[in-house]
Amino acid sequence: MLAGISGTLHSPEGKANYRKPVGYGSALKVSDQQKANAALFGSLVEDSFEDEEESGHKNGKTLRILFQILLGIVLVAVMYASKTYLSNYTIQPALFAPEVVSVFDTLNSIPGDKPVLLAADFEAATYGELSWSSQTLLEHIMRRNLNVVLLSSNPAGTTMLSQQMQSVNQKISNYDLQTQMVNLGYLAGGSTGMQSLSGGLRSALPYTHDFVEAWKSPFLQSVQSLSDFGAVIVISDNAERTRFWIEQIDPGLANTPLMFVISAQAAPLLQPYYQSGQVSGFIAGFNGSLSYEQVFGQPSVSSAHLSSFQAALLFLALLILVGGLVALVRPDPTDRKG
Amino acid sequence: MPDFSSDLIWTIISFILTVAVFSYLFGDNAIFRFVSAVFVGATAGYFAVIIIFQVILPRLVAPIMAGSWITLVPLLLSGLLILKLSPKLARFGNVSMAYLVGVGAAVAIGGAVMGTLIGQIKGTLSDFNTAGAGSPNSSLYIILEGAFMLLGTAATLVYFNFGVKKSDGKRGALTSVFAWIGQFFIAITLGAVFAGVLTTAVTALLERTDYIVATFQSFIH
Repeated sequence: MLAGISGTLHSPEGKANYRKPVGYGSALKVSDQQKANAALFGSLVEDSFEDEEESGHKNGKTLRILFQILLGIVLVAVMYASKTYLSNYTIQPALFAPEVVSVFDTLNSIPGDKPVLLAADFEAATYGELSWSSQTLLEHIMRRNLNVVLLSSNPAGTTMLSQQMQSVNQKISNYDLQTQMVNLGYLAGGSTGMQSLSGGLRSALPYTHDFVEAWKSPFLQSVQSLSDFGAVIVISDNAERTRFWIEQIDPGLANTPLMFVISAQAAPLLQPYYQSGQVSGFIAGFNGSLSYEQVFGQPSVSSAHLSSFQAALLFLALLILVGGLVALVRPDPTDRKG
Repeated sequence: MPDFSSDLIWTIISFILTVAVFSYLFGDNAIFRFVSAVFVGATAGYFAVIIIFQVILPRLVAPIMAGSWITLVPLLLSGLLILKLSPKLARFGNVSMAYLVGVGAAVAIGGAVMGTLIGQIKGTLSDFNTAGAGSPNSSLYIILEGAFMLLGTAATLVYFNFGVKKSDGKRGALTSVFAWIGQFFIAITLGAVFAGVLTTAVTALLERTDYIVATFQSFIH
């Protein structure tokens, strides 16, 4: 998770193995295009090491940090100015994504006596986004008075998910988490663990998170396999693991719908599974939760932050555009160095 | 005297940690490194507790105590796996490793074939299904859309075929054309993924800054 952030992970060898890239030998059979690519890559690597190696560039480094801080401040200022001064310019979505509407319709069609299986498969880093994305969906489940079973394929998952359930439950007084929710805890084994859910649900997770026999709960008496749930909803931040869920539990679902609440970064890779009918619907990131709030008719966190979100994205798009244009017109780094 | 409830204490700690993470804006610094170490340490400790109480106790210890002797097999395999730590005894752990890799590969390959490969082939074919079309025009639209999807799928797959002809060491003409088309579909996909990553980052920033402002306001009031 921390790889790539300078200073957070230290290799045991220190800097002993790092060096500037060497030029390629004349004996290599490379095309002009490959030489150009190698030179470009070499200049990129060289630039990244120069900051640390050459003390003469301290001024440049200070300027870079100042620029970073300035950009950060401007971005936050844009977000908050848009909330107060630019809220009239916010563009409300007029059409809703079919996958979001499908989640709403599917949830409405679940029989009241069938529990919903909620699986958490996300890291703490994306909890902020996914808690916003899942908030209205969880509220919808509670307003329908559906019983819920929690599990997680990540050790910290059910802790975060049950915290989210408690947070949403504060708004809904007639839903009793003590009797209507069972927390099965951590499902170990990754994709093998997911496969075991299809093979034998009760033997895969015999106890709750606090080591009590799970399947004695009154509303779980009739649940023998995944197909006895009203729906399976996976909350995930990772496209690969989303694929594992589909591949491993789909055979055991029969007619039970499989739905997802996912981070926006995983959405493009889930779309084909929705179009092929393997996934009944999904809510992806901020835009997905915004649509769900509007379809459900309960404006919540996403609606409240829409103007800030749109302004921040517009600002970043402009920044990328300007950065691209500057990179296009400025002299080639290799030319500058002679 | 203010009421120092556990909620308030955790709010203050979260607030301080969030602000400390934002200090990365000033470049790599001691505060950021300290907070990173706290997060990594706390996560590792928490995971260890969860694994002991939610995996080892209920899945290993409880069945053995209940007389399920078959559970001694995973206990034995786990014991052999620990021997991997010693260079002299590491070969005894190969049995456990072979079991883990074999089962993992079988589950992954079986899932990929049945869940993704066959599922996606069915999905691509179902794009041509005109059964629900109301008019000839909509049938034509469905067929065109299906053809476009098929072209995208085939061209993307062809792009990743790096085989060449023996005679001149180059791709065939048809393969080259399809691979060229495939590049556009891959570029669009990567663009969509990048947009998603950006959206996720903005949402996370929004959520955290909102938390900081809300906490700050609650302190003032």
